[in-house]
Amino acid sequence: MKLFAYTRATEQDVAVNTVSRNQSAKFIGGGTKLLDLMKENVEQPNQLIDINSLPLTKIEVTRNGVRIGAMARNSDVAYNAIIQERYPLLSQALLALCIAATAEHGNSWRKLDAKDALLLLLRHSDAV
Amino acid sequence: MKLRSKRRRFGQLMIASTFVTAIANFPKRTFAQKKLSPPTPTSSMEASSVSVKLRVNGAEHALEIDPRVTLLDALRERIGLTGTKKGCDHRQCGACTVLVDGRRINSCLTLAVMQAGASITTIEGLAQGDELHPMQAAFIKHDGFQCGYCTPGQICSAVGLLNEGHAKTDDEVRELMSGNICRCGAYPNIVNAIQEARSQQT
Repeated sequence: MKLFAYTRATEQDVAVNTVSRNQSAKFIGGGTKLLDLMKENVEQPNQLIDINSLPLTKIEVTRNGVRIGAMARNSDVAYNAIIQERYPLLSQALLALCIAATAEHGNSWRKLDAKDALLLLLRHSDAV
Repeated sequence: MKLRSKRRRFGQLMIASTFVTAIANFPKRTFAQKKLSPPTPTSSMEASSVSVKLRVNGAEHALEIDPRVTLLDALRERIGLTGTKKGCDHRQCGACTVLVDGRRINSCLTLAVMQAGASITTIEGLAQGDELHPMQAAFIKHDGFQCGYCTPGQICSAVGLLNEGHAKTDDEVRELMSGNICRCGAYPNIVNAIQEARSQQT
């Protein structure tokens, strides 16, 4: 793994600015995907901004559907009552895609491709 | 006569040299491979350390570590809690499962620096002195292990599973414990142990 500077973000704007100014900086959430790639030197950021302290975990109903915070854990989304009631396919997909410890640990920040497709589908479908 | 004595002298020389060579080689042969010297720290490694305070099993540990050190390596190599095992180092086996703020995570894929301030519980922290955690007792009662290598991860993961409260049936337990693999195949007994601990919870 290449060496990096580590900082824990406390403000969303500062975190976004830092990553915008430094092409080689990356956000880190659960880390289950990014750290795996960093161990293989596939990803080689020179700066990691830990966004776990930012208040981005909410799952809330909006006028058009549901907003899922970028840091909401996969398992929290999958077992959320609103998601299970309104988007049961999303809940089942999350549980099928992730093994439990990853589901607990990982979050929606780095999405798997199948999840991406599902979320896009939900966002653009008339049912949302 | 002269030729016979030359041959005798030659034979004696051969035996003596073989004997001496065997003795000389003996200390070399006792080592299977050369001992590797530990890597010398480079100046960049020394300059890159960060201070981290980890709260593990109720105790605070102040560490000076490279930011790249995973929680698993910090627990095993720096703090000396070797109960948590490194199986694959890639979040595929679950042997490294620990509890962070009551949630089970794979400690091989999180950095130690990321867990500063969190309450970490390892397998060593489950028992209360000599009194085993109910999950540990259930694993022993139901013989939920053979070699024991996956077992700390299995037990921590099972405790996390019960904290989540989603698994009820055997099939649900199997599904939600599928992140912890057991090469010895103790799965049926593991499921029984978890179900017993779950029934004791209520």
